[in-house]
Amino acid sequence: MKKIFKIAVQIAIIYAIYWAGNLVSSLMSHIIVIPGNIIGMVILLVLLTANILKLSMIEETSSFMLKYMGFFFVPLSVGIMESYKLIQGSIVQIIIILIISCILVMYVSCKVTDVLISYKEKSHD
Amino acid sequence: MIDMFTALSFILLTIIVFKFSLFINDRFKIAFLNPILITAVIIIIILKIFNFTYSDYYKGGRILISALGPIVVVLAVPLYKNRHDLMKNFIPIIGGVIASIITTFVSITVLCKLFGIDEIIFLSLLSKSVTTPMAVETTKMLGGNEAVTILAVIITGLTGAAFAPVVINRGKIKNNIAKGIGIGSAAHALGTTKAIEMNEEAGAASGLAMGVTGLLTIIAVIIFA
Repeated sequence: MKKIFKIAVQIAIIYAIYWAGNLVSSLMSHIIVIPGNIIGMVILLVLLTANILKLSMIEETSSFMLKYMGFFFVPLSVGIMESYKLIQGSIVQIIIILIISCILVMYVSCKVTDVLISYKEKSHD
Repeated sequence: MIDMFTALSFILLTIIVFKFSLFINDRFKIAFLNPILITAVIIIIILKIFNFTYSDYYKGGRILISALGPIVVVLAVPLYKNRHDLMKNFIPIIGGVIASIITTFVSITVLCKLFGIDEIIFLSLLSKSVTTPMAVETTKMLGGNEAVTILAVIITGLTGAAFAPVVINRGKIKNNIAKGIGIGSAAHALGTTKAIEMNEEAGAASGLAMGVTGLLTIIAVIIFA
């Protein structure tokens, strides 16, 4: 019972931060669009760093959510069965483009970060 | 009442198929298979066989999708735990993200020219590496088609999650922060699921890269478009 209560409080804290993020996002939306969940992430980071919120107050629930994060992407992916119709004429080309580009982008970004980090570490030695 | 039953049945179906896909994934260890893709394909086949439409499935699906908001919020936890290492590498991280944005722009432009893709679709693909709400906003500013963007974002995310281990092994990327920055800046939150699986530091970097890439992409569009 105590455990259920604890998890319920954790979920409530996380949702409250998410809603706060959405609120800030809608207030800022005519200047720049930053999604509420990204702002919520920043708010949570600030609360943790400023020690207003203890990690232990959300730890179980957040590690559960992160562990099963992929699961919640399934419905969006199933949505492809409808939305592919938009690009039916050139779907094969577009998929090829997206796959090549994604692999290229990931490789370049990993490599640049990796090289910059090892350069920085060397220059510090 | 019937709607409620339909919604719960589809959620249950998604859980069962996902469990099964995790098992398949562990059993066969094929790099480009990933449990999200396997689950989606199996569910699409089941829906087709029993003549359900996506809007039937969406009754349950939207409940799961609504949990994605708070999940992105808790990405702050790995970020917090690894904040010192990430701060130390501020410049390499920004460098990696900028490299990612430039590579996206150049590769999409060149490939679309090569394949003779329509202008509207080309404009809709430019934001494919960014998390959905930011991608949609970018596409609006560029004058593309939002629905095409959402599709491109999902295909990119699935590709990123699937190919991340291959890219990292073949590319001989050793540093965990570098792995995460590459994955998050190329394949947003969906890729981040894979980075978290690898280790916490990569997951933290990936979550960070996702936010920074989105932000810099929108700023770049405001400045240059």
